[in-house]
Amino acid sequence: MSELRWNPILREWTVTATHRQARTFLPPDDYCPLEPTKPGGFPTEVPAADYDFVVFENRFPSFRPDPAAPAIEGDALEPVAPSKGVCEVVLYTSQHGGTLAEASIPRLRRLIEVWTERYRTLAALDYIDYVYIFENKGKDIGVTLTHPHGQIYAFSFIPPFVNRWLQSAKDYYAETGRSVFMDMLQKELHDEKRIIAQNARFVAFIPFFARFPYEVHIYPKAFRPSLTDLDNAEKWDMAEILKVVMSKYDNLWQISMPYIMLMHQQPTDGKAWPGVQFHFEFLPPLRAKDRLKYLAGCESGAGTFINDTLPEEKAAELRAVAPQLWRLA
Amino acid sequence: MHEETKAGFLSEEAQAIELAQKPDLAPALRQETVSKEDGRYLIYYTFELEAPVQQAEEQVKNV
Repeated sequence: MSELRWNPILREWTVTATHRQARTFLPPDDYCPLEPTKPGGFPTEVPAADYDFVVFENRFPSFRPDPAAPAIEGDALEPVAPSKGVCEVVLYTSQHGGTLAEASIPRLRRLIEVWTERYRTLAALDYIDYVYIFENKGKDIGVTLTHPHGQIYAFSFIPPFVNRWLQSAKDYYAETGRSVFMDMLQKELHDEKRIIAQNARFVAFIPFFARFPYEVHIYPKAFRPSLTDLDNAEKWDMAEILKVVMSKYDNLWQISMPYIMLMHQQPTDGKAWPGVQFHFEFLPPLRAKDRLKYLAGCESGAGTFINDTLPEEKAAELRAVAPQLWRLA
Repeated sequence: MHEETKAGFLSEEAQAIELAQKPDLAPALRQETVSKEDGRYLIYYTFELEAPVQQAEEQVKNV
């Protein structure tokens, strides 16, 4: 059962999805549901023997294109709504092991083409307001399947974090006539001290206001509201910078760095949102090799992040790390 | 190992290696959608690799 329940205090939706409690949880390597089905073996999600990339609807979705009616009745104070939307899984490879950091730049370039196609297709659905592409990597971040994969949540509403920065960008644009994202980007390019890596068309940096010690944002240098606005040369540079950032992460402590990787871009609700800049955010949960940054009382209860490190120092640390993956060097 | 210059730019040598992997053409994408038994869709994506990319993938060790 799944439904949207309105929080009248925060004025935002919470999704209930009770069927997800029963989803597959860290199965043994020889029982991976995301590998191609083997002859005589158990049926997996992917019948074909091999593939380049695969996208399929999540078996345990938080949103469905045709959701059931809510199981509980709402009222004027706390309304409920069907959990309409789309949840997709993106398989990066047919091989069970490995991570995106190990993919070649041409392979990453092709993945970008898949992401772009999914953004374009899901954006065209009249009930989709926001297409959110992300990857949870590593057990520390809560993955339930270790096969290399990402996810796409296509929301029928603008989610609260997104709504907050959209309103901020809109207000900033009304006040200045400029994009807050581009102004921030220009400051980072000028300051240089928080930059991790860059090439002709993309730059990776730890933002001035980073909430996590190793939080890295990746921006196109030109104003590009969504994946569909990037040209071929930009997508190649994006593939390269992704490879460099993920390699630096893994090189830092010679571990496979856990992280949330997410993309933010233009909503698909048909409204004007001036100044929105497509970008990646990487949110690794570690503050040291063996120490998690917990979202404890201040972060979870008050909404204020306490960063135990200086972005300038962490950027210098990551900048000094080799950009070629240590496992393959 | 790649060297980096000021403000995180890759060195000229590293850029030359990377540029060899960046052809002018976008990869040609093909997709095939199938229906699963429970009605969910599944899409296979395949790419027709341009010769320079294939060559680069074979040459570059960090694959």
